[in-house]
Amino acid sequence: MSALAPALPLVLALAAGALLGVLSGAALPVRRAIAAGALALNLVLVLALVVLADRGATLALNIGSGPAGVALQLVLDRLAAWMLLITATVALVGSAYACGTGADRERPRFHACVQFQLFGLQGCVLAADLCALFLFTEIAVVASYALAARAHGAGWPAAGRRVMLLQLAGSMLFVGGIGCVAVALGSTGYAALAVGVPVTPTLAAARTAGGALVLAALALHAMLLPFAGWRARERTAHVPLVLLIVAGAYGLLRLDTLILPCIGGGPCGPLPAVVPLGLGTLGAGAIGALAVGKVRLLAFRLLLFPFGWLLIAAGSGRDLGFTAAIYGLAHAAVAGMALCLATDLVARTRGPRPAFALLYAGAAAGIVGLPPLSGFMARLAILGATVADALVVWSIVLGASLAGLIAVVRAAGRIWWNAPRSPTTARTVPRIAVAAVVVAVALQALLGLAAGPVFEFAGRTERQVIDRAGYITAALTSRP
Amino acid sequence: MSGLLLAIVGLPLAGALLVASLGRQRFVDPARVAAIVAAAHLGLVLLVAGALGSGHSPLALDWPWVPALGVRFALHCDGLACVCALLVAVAGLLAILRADGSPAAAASGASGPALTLAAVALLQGLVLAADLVQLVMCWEASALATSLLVGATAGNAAGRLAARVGAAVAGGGGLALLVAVLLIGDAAGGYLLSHLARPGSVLRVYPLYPLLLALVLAAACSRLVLWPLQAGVPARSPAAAGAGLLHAATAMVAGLYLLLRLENALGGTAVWRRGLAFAAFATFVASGAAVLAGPEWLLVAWRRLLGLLQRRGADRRPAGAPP
Repeated sequence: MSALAPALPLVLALAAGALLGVLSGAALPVRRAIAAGALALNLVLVLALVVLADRGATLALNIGSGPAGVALQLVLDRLAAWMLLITATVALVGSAYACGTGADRERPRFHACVQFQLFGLQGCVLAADLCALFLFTEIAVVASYALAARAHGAGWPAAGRRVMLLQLAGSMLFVGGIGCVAVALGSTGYAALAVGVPVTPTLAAARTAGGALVLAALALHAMLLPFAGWRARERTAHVPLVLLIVAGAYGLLRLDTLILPCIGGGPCGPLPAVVPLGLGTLGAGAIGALAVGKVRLLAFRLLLFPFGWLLIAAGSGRDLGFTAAIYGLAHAAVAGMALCLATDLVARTRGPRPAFALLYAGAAAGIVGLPPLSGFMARLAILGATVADALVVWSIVLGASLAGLIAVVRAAGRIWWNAPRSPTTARTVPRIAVAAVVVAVALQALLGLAAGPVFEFAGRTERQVIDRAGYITAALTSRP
Repeated sequence: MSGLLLAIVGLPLAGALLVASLGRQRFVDPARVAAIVAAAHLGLVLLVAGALGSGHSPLALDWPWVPALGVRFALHCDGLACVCALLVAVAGLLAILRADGSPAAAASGASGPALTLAAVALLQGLVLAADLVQLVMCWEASALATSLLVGATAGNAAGRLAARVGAAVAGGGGLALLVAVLLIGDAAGGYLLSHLARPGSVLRVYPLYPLLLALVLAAACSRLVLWPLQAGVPARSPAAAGAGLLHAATAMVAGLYLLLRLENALGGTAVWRRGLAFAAFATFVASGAAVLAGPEWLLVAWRRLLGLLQRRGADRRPAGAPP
């Protein structure tokens, strides 16, 4: 039974998505009950998987075996279980907020889209094969288009075309990379990639090129520096986007530790480009945050902060750096969600709302690293991990924090004061939506206050991921 | 007895959450609840002060928090911390009482008193912290909380701008302090204040001592309104009655506390003395120059002069003449 465990959340999300798709004409409470039940069950399942994975075993499951070594392989280790927990939590809170604002009332297939996106994201997390990764990424991206279309409103068709073209380019890079790797090594499984050795120099070059293409595609999804500000105006910051970016960052972490270190033929270590890319992403976010005036655009720039930190941490050495990156995954998802929800909340309300301004300040303070939220701990760990390059890294990280702080204080003041004062224009926001934002901010605080145990878990995860042997053995010995 | 320390930090925090949850209902006045909490909090601090005054040994509490980063949750209360805690408690109570009934406070609803209580809790965390990282956390968060409070209750755009500048300056000072604390942790091998209390501290012979000193002084200047960071306290926010009081008073307490606390470990050198004296002197000169050069001064003086002349004219007017 435990061999099938990694597939359970995927099966659940797929079944719930299909059921909700069929029942899209059913009464709203029925759909909500099914969706809430499925998301809660997913969270419980994933918690069980975290406990299972924390025992130290790596579970692998082969679903069928395709031609030329292409297989749908799922592998569950601590890092994957941690990421599953993050996606399940964010999906639950984000959906609760969307229900509160009536998103599912206007769009009958909203909950089905959420389930399909969760299916795609959790598949990305569990995938141990480049083909499977590509498949699940596309599912998640397509589902997020549908969700994003609502978040953007009337301006979506034109903006959406451009975003779709961008994602399509990413998919082409992805497919090209997979092709190169498959030709070079005869397989696309992570484990085969990690241990495989090309027989001729041409094939070795093909493997390097394939790795670079896959990396570029993931960077496009994770909005790394070259793609950080691209078409930023068309992309409102919303929860599905945050989840997509987190999944892209997770993919980078996984490839960075498992496959890519050895692709160049040199000693296995973090990619040299990761830290400069992270610093650049952070700098782009900081400059953008100072430059923009609107709250919605500011959220998009501030989102780059935790991802910049994450990359800096991932690239700066194995021990504390990678532990900080694993903590940073949770911080990025939770803080990004809190910021998106708080931004949406204040953008929906008219009239002076000091309490909402405070909520917004709380959500945004976490993302720029103010204590005692998770951002402070993540930044502290990154500063601790980059002592060797303190002058450059610390100046950029702390300078960006100061810029972000100025932008956040400015925005919070504007929300508090510049709203129209007459009570007649005040639009009420349902309590569920407000409660979801409060929960999101509280999750940030919880992650900060419980940083001790979380960092311990991250440390265990780091040792397992760096070891690689458990993952590779489990993946290579599993039978379909 | 050391549970009292936890209560001193926890009571205003719980009070802030309680007051914030009251919202805009009509039955209970949030400001009144906040005043009761602040008074009870002052009583707690007085209790600790009394115990310390009657010869009780300093209170302390030490729990692990994030072992991977070497951060502990540690509180302690000696004479210095107790005096500062008393100042903060009194300032908090006065600020809540002073703001009660003002139009700005009425507009902010329950947020004003809640934010005040949260700021008091964070400031108590600052002065009672025995772990330097915890001190930095409370430093940054309290600066942001009091600046938000000033901005929230400021009646005009100038006051809000001053609060924003104040938040940026104090936040920047907090980042400087964070770097300083990381350096201290590197030099002393831990973030606990007890690491620094050893005689012949390692900090004065640390290779980066000048940088460390500059960072600590910059952080202190940002809260003490010393040159060149005198924008730290929004002096030009006329309407921020209670909030301005709390912000100004607590910023002074925080800055002075930091300097006094690190005096033993960092101070005593010529650079320390000269740096402080220079900052104070430069502030003196800069504020004098600002007063002399500022257009407000000339305007005020001109109006006073006119007023004086008019009154003198009125005095000389013979009785019965039309005014």
